[in-house]
Amino acid sequence: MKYIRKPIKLSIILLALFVLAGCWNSNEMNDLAIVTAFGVDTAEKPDEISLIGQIINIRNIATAEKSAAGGDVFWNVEITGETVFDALRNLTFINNRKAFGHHYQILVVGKEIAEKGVIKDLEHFARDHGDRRTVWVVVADGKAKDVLDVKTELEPINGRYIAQLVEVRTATSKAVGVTFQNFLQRYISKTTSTFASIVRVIKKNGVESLELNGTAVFKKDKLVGELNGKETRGLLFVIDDIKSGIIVVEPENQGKTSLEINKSGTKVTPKITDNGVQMDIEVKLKTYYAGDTEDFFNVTKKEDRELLQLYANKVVKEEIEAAIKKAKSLNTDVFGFGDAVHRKYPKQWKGMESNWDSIFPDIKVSIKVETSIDSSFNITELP
Amino acid sequence: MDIEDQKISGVQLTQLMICFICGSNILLTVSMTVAKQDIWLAILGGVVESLVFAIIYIFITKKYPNKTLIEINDLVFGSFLGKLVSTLYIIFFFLQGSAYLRIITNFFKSQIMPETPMFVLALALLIVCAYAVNKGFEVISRLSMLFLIFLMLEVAFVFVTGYSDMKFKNFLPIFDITMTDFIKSANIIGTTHFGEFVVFLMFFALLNNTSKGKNSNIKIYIISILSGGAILIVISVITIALIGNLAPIDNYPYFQAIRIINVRDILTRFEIITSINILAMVFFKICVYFYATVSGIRKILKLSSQSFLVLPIGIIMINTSLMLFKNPFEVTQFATEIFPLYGLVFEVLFPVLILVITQMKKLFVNR
Amino acid sequence: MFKFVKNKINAIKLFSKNNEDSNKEIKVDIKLTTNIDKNISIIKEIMGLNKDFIIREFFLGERKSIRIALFYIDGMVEKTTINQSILKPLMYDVWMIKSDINQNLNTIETIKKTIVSVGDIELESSINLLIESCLTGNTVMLVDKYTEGLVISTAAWVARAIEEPKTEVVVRGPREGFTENITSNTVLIRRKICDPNLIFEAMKIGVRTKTKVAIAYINGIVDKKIVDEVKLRLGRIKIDAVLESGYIEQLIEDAPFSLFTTVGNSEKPDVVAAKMLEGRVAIITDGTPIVLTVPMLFGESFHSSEDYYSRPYYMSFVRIIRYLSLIISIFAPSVFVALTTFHQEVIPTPLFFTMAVAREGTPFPAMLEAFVMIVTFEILREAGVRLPRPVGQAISIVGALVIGEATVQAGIVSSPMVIVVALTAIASFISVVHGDSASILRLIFIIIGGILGAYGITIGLIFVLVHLTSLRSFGIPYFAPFAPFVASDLKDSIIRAPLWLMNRRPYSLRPENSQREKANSLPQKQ
Repeated sequence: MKYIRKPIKLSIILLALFVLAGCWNSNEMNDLAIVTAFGVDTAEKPDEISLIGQIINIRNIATAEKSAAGGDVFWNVEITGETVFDALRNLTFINNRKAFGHHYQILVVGKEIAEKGVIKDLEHFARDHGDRRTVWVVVADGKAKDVLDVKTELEPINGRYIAQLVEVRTATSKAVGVTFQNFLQRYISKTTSTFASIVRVIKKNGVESLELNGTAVFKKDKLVGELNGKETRGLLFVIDDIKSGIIVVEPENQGKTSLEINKSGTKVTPKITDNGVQMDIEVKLKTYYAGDTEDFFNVTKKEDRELLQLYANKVVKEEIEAAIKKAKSLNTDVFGFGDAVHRKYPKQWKGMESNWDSIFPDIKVSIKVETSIDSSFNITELP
Repeated sequence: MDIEDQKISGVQLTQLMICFICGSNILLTVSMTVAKQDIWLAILGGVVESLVFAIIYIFITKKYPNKTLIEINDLVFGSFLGKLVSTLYIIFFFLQGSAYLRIITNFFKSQIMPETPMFVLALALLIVCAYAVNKGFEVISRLSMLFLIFLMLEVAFVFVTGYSDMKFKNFLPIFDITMTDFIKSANIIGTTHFGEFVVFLMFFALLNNTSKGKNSNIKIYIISILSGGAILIVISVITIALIGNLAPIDNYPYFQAIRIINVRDILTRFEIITSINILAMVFFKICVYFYATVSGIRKILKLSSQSFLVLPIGIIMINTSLMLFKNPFEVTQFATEIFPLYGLVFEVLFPVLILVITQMKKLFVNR
Repeated sequence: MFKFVKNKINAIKLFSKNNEDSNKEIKVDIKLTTNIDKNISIIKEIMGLNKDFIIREFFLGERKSIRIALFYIDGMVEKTTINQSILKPLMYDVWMIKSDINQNLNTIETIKKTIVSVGDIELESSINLLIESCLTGNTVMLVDKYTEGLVISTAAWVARAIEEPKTEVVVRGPREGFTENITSNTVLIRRKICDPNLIFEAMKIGVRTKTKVAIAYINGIVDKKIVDEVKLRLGRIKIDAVLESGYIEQLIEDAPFSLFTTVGNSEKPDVVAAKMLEGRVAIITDGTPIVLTVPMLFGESFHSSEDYYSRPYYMSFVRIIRYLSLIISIFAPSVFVALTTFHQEVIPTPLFFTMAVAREGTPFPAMLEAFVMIVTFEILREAGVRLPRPVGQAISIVGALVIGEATVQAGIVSSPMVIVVALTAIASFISVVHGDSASILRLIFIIIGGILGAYGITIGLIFVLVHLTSLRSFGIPYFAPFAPFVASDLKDSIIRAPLWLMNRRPYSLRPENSQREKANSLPQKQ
């Protein structure tokens, strides 16, 4: 029939146009090399960098679920290139599938490259269209490759293991969890220094395992120093990122006892006085009395509670002071004091911004901590 | 009923105008690079500027309630000069439609499907636009409410899920913006988001009789500008609260902001829904410009039908959109530097001329 | 591109014109003559060889001078009526009133008025019409020397009893359904609505079948324009046969090129009554239990009579589920294909790993996999519907085993795909009305999703929405109350508001009288 010929022609043309030209972006899932972690290291040649992609061996995961036998579930591919993206594409020389990085969960930066300056190597991960800025950034104590090579228990995929290690940091709050987003935000801010957790490989009885320990502090994008666990928590108190954690207090003659942080809130108020910049840090803590003592502390009594609170205040204050001292010695504004001043005094800030490096070490800090004990778990008091 | 004679109600026109404003949301980055965390101030400034524009349009629509812009031009400037101005307007509408086609294909190409040819993306979208334009203005305006609800649900969903990640101290310090920057960014928003309302001078004649009340055009303009501005402010607040100082450096800040939302690893990665919304809103923008071009040509040439114009103009539009800019940077440059002035010619200069000449003619006749 | 659609429509119009011409049979209307023998021979000639055509001749009158002939079709008439009410009075009881006959009065009038004791009785002079009424089960009586025959209504044949309809099963609500008999169907509706404004207008459609069709509406509620439009369109139909209301549906619908139907139907009198009370027109066709209702709105297909009989809260939830299942049944496979081949980055990470593990080792691209699985499902469904019930069960077992177990075990199809297809299949059973369009759209969307990913699916979705918005059913926007957005009608769309809130008839249908009940009829405590 005449009137049906034209649409048939048109639809054939359209169909041919779309179908024959191909499905441009389509990638079947089984053609992808799924990367769970990226690592960056220095290469042997000075102008190259080395990229480690941790590729999941899906086939082995599939068999591992059915039977106990099976090979490694991940495969670390190391490749060098002149830039990160160059290296990423070079990956296809030794890996048969296209690297699919949209689901990677952790970015491991080798210590050497971190000391040389890292932003040019990480910039690609912020730019690429599928990559997410919610991944965790950690610094390896040593080579990134060594960290990624460790076989882990409970979660056989190393990259996910490290990510989960960072996620459970809140139990102690003695390590930081820095997403790539935070990392970049701190880097972009002109005065704030960025930081990331450190992952170490520890060897015990010939078995390697991973440990999250301490915080690496960057000046701009160069690694300049480390904070230990105590200082890290001081830092977290100041930037108000404490979720939980144990405060060990030691009242005189009474042995050690512990308090668990339930809730913490910090207020940082900058003040510009004639003597320079002063930061008022006010920490409000809510804790649970967790015990661990020989003679059951009687927290139902007000005097005992007050005593404990006093000592807890002291511990927290010491931690914060330690962190500030370390930061001042490294001349890195990890706390974002500069930003706080900017928010409060936008006009004065214009003069201070350029010489913040000379102002920061002389900042005066007054710390006020208030602790309250709200619960004593199962035990009330001894008769 | 003939497609060209379809009537719409005032409520539908308002809905369509709000969708039309939201179609420019993808360009939020342009003013965000200038205004940074004070973007909401710039939006307020833009709304005020657009209210001033709206006064001009309200007067025009009041003077000529049953005339489209083309007919008004003929009446005001005389038949030759009027035709010239009308032609300029049609070219303006056509180029705007092509530009938005380019902007949306750029977005999808850079953010979601980098390997797909731009031509294919543009073609697929334009087929639907052509279908909608062929079905008439009534269909386009009726559909707008549906997508407006989608948009609002999506924004509400993003706000709820992203609330725990939002940091409202990102807005501090307030008023940390120089006057020139403020005027510049407010003008960008005023001209791109709201100023393009000039195209609706083509459509006020389509209002049905029940909606042609005394002050209905005032209501339509005010409501659509205010609600469009409100949506815009909510979106920019979400963006700044979520990504703070990264927003000015991102190409598509709202889209980037949604990507970092993560609620327990499950309510996450739903940026594709946002991209669908962006596409739907730009669809309306292109449709309105497309329809304005087609019906403008029909009016200027006094044709009896317009459906045969849809396909050729659509094809030219695809090609224009591909040739208009060499790369995405030119789009941004155009939106930041050229459009705020170039747009003013069509958005303010000619409408003001129309008003002035109308008034003068009136005086002349009275004398 | 759109020109050809117009051409199509024009061509179809042309086509129908041609048909009109060809159907014009030259019919000579033969009138009865005064000679009964001649009449009988004419009728015999027309009816020809029909074995079931009975001619009964007998005499009336004292001197057996009046010749009478009865014609009827065996099996279509009630024999007892003929024996008791026609033959017996004429042959025996007539002696009691013999005087009248002998008085040489108008015999046929006398027979009609005083002898034959049957309700419906008419005079008719055209042989064609007499034969036609004979064919519909009436008995025709010819009397010698008269140019008019009597049509006596004796139609009765074996009909199905009123049963519960198989298609619209309800837990709560009346169990009766329409039958194939138009008279009993109109009765069923009449019994629901006791209102003199309920109008049934009769007409006959079909050159050969002469199917009885009734247009039913309620005066004062319905928009008169719709009734006129329905009559106009029904009058335009020139077709050989109307065997089912589907014939009429396809010939009066607004958008013959659309995938979506713009004419509603139901098998239950309560549903049809409710729709008429909202301002719709029902078209009842003889010979089918399916009654058409126009105009139809898109959302109507998600309504069930039970929604109104049960309490509103759960029913609102069920409505949402129904809308959701239509969305799932159309989009689930295509979205799945788009996600797994284009947008792997938007799948939550834990789910992504699980899916990647399941996907490993399967040989076909996801698009092909989905396509084949959906087609397999359609085959199984069709087989299940057509086969006798015992075999149907065997089919479902084979289908479940073949699709569910074997393909996954053999690693031909990934298990998430099976889950998605199964979900699609179940969801597709919920929306019966749009089930057919959903089946086709599903396949189209799989292709679009496999080629252009979410971008393509969005474009396709906008296309479908533009199409739905542009549709009209008898002048009423099809996609109301969503587009155009009618806020007051949303009460009975995605949700079902309590009855005491729905005190107005749907605004979208433009009823003449929109007040349904007292404005505030919230149940009050005493």
